[in-house]
Amino acid sequence: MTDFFDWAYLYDTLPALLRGLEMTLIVSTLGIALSLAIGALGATMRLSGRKALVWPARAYVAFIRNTPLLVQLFFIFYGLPAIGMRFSAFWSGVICLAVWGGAYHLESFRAGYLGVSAGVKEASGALGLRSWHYAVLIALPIALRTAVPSMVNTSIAMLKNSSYLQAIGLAEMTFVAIDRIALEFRTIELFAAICVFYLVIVLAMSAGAALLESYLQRPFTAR
Amino acid sequence: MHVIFVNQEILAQGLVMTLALTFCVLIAATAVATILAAGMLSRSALLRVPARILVEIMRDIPLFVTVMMIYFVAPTIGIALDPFEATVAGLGAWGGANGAIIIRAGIQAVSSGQREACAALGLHRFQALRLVILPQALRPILPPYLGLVTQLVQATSIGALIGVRELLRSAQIVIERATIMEGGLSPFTLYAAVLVVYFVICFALSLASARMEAVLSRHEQPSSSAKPRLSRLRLMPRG
Repeated sequence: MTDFFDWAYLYDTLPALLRGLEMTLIVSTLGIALSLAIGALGATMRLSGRKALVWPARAYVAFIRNTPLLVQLFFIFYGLPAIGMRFSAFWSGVICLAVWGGAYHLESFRAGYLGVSAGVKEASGALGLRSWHYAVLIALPIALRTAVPSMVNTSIAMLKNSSYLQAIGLAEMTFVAIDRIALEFRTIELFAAICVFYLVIVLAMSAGAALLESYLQRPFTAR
Repeated sequence: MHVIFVNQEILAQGLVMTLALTFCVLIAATAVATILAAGMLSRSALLRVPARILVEIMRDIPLFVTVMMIYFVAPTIGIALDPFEATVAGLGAWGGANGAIIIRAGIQAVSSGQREACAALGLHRFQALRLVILPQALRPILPPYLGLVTQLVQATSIGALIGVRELLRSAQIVIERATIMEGGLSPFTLYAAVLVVYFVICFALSLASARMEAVLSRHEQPSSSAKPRLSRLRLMPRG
């Protein structure tokens, strides 16, 4: 290594890193979208009050939250083909992220829903609304407001966790960087670059979340 | 199942390594968390600002990248770390940043009236911290901290990727051998078994955390039941 930080090298590698970044963003976006669907469905099951629906949802959350994402990933990518379910690295990654994030989103949805005060339910009952009217038209919008911060937190965690997909050979940003390091040993430049990229994305997501939160809090702020 | 019993020795060694790794990481993370929390709560901006920036950066960079970075960059600046040490350093830094957030939140949760009362009684700042604030802060700190331990146990699996022979790596070694000799179901069985082992350890810790929260908050006013749950979600370590 000639000098400590080689800007010219970084400039040459940038296109490859950006392609990796693109993959990181695609896989995370798909994962986040799917996980929100899983979380919403799961929360509905969890809140339904029927044992046959509540227990699978509880077991799902407990299992996902108490096992490492990396092992879940290996189980999906290397374990499932042994029983005939084969997914590409890309879809294994999407499925793994979605299933992982879904468990956390489920809890956020649920906490938000349970956070709606009992008075609101009584009021909607007094106004003659049916229970599903209450759930969809009254409780859901209020619940989403409380659930947004922790849902954003989960989504940020999912974006960061997409770096684990390096381990199954998906060409996302971390994979590109480590692949280059194996060839060219430019550790400092490459890690500095991907750290900056991750920081920028995460800070942008946090800033976006803050805007969204203040937007959702509009009805409650004094003018 | 046969493949597990035949290789139980190597898998057991892996589990022991996972537990050893967790133990070292826990000590490192707690030390880092204490220092960072002290920095974040300091009255001097010269300590507060760097501590906050450090915590934010540690929480925003993926843990996997942090561990890889330490493992690959340390040798180029003249510090040779073996995989075990690199994993402990990476997880310690990450756990420390997340632990610092929990500790800070716990100390800030003690009402300011307590601090004022201490001042009125003429207690020194550190006496107040040790005798009045910390004992009360432990109540909001301990349950989420135990939750962080759960995350750290899971995160030790990253060690497998840089060559620590912990539980996941041991399973991979067994799979490599078994697939060459017999093929078939061994990846499915072994990864499922590894998932179950992690689940047993972490679920027990999670139950302990929930139980501890219930016991520690039994004297509090039963306000709305959903709120503490949400606050715990917000304290969730990020990835």
